Amino acid sequence: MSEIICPYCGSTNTIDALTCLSCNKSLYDDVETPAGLPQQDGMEWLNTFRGLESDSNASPSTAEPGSESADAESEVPEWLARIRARKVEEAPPPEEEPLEPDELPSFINQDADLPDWIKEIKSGDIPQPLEENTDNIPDWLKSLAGEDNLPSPPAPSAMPGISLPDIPNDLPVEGLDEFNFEALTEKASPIGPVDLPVDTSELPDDLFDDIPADQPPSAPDIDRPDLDWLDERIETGIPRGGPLAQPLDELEWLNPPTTKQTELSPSTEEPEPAEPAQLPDWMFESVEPTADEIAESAKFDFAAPGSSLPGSGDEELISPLQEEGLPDWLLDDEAAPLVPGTEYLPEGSSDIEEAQMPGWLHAMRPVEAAAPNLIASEEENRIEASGPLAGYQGVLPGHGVVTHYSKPPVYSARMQVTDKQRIYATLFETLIADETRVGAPAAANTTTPQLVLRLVVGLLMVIALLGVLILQPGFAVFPTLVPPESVAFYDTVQTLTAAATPPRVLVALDYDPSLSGELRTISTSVLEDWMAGNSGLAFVSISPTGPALAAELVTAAAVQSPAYISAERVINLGYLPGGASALAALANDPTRTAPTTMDGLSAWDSLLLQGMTAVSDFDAILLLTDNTENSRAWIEQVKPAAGNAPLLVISSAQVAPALQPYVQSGQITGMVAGFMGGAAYEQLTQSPSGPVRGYWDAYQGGMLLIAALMFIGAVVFGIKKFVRRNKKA
Amino acid sequence: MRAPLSTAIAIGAGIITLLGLFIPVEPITSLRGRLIEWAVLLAGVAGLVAIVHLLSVHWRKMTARRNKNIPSAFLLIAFALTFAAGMVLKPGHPSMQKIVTHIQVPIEASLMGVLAVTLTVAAIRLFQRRSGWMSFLFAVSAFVFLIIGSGLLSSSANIPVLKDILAAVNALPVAGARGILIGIALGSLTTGLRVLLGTDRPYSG
Repeated sequence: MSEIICPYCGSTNTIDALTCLSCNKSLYDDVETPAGLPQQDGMEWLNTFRGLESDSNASPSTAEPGSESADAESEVPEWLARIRARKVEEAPPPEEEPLEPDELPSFINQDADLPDWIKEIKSGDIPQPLEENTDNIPDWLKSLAGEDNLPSPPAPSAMPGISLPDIPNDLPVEGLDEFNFEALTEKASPIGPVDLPVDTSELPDDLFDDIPADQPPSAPDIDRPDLDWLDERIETGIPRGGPLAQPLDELEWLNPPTTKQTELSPSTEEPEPAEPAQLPDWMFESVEPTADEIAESAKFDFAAPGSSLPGSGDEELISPLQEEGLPDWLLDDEAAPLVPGTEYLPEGSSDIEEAQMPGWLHAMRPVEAAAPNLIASEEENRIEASGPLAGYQGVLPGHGVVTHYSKPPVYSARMQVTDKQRIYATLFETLIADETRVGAPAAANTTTPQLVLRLVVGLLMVIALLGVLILQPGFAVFPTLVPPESVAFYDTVQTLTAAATPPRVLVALDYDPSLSGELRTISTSVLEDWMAGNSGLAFVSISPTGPALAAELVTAAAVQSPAYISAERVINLGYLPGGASALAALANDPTRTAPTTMDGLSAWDSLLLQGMTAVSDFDAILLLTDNTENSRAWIEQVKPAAGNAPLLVISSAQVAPALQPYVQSGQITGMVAGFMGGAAYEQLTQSPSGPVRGYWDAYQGGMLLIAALMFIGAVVFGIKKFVRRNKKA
Repeated sequence: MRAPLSTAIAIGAGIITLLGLFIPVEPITSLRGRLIEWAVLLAGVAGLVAIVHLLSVHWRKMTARRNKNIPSAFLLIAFALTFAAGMVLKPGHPSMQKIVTHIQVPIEASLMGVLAVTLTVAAIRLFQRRSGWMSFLFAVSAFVFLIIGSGLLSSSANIPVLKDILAAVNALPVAGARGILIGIALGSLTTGLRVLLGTDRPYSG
């Protein structure tokens, strides 16, 4: 980077060098662009086109420095300075001396307040619109102007004519669509409908009256004199002077229109042709349309888009695209004759005047249609080499896509967790763990008080119950209020045992040895009543210990009924495995389910069960249970098969609430539940020495003792907890 | 489908049993009875299998190289003696029945006594371990039903107000039991339908 490049020769020099080693020029002098050289801004072609080489010496940049004009013009762009210089050169010499400023009206001298175009009028500098406007005017407009479609002369009142030279300058190219083409076709005047940028009718008339009549285009008679000089040029072939450097005969494109121009009404102004050097070559290569083409263009119908578009300068617009370069469809359309019958013409279409497509619209064809070969890609030229489309050209490439295999990307299923998220997850996990963790029980002070408490409670209960059982104090009072189910049970037993024929009862023994003390005590008095009625008892059990408990129960009950012959009136069908299935089988066919007794004899051939084949043959079913599920199984499986045989239940106190709904629904005819039920039954039978009565004092004493211990314990521990809380506070 | 044969047998047996219950036509009822008898036999065999499995487990515990379980030997010895006596004396023999009435009944009754003392101690320490409204309510309900179950208030049930109170209190467990029975019925119905539809296949392993 420690180099200095010479601004003159471009060679590289060291950083400490003052002069260039190659050209010996100072490296730190300001280098100015040589005067007269075009700026290296990429516009050399334009300068060349404008003939800058020949006019460079006349450029204002060559003015002497230090002068006021030079300072003022130094700020003027080069192009403007060049235009002004050329205008000075091309300006015709004044024929007469202009008026002195003192002779003009006062308002004319007020140049600062007047617009530029008025200044130009005042200064007699009629602008040369053709030089600048030929670039802006489209070709079709030029052709129309050069052919027989010259504008008709406007009314003098509507167009004073003094501002007409400004029209081409202010007419933008984009504003061509505002042209009324119908009026253009009808009147053959493309300029007529254009609105003037300034309404000259608003200007005072005295402004024009004060202008000398010998000034170059004067306002009132600008039309006629303009045409006069044009006619004069046409007739003589000599330019009026000024900028035409080329002879008029070289402007062949201008001749036909001028011949027709004489036949038409004079136009307001005929733009002067530009210099041939300023016009592109293609303008001179164009072919002038013939009279037939012009007539055909007048008949152009927009309803027939396929029709050809001759005339209106189309050939000049598409001249770079030669005919051999045109696509076939375009050539076919041009060659195809116009068939009027194939067009859709609405009613009254004859009254519609045919329009003419402008050249610029026709030039808006797709570029692909004009030059398809330029866009033809390599893919379209490719010939398929394999597959069923082999040999075809321009086929969409599919072989490479199908055969190309790329391994699918493997995405990691591992969650990307930031450190912050990990901390939050750990904290959340800790919170959940605290919620689910069961708190450890409060540590006991010592194990001795718990053990002492258990021993004290146990010994107290044992001593109290044994003392009551042994002493039989008789403080407990039998219940005077008997449950209705116990009454129903008692009534059923009394009804069956009071019958002439001794009843045969199916006794279902379904309780465990752990609760045999309660159930055996309650059931003993009931069996005594059945035995008192010489009832036949058939025991069956779905518990393995049931048959043994049944034998014990019969033995205990037979003590109070010595006349009852158990061997004949009691039969033990044993144990039925399968639970509810065994009960369903028993209800379906008892002879097949329990065919033999515990001794291996045929049960249904005995005197007790002879002639019985179904459960419904029994007079009653007595259920001894301490299990809720087994009770439900008996009620649901056997009771429906029992028919009218009543179902009597002797249950423990813990099962009684679960069987109460069956009692209320009538599925259970009567029930004796717990010691309370046994006491009520004995109360009903008026048995003075029933087994329940012997345990009643102990039973009631034990229940009250437990309730008292619970109450005392709750009070003691409540007071201790209250005292501890106060001590902590 | 997993175990299609077992599923077909189970669904078929269930449908036949259900039809035999609702349609008392002779072929169906006979077939239903036969299927139930097979179920009873299978239950008896399953009891024998359970006994054999129990013996094998205790045998493994007794013959283990480490931590031998001595009580398992007592169980095996007691089973052998009882089985031999039953085969010789028959199950209906009074001596065979005394095995149950003189051994099993006192043991199980004693366990119930211990359970009564344990529950009483737990109820006393209820307020020591966990206090609250639920504990208080449980203690009050237990106390009230102990008093009612003892029959202490039955002699004074003629009092109009007390009679109504006792009837209302006695209706509470009945209402709870009725709700439990309804839940059990719905559960049994759902289970039966699941088995019949093949949704629940406990037999397929």
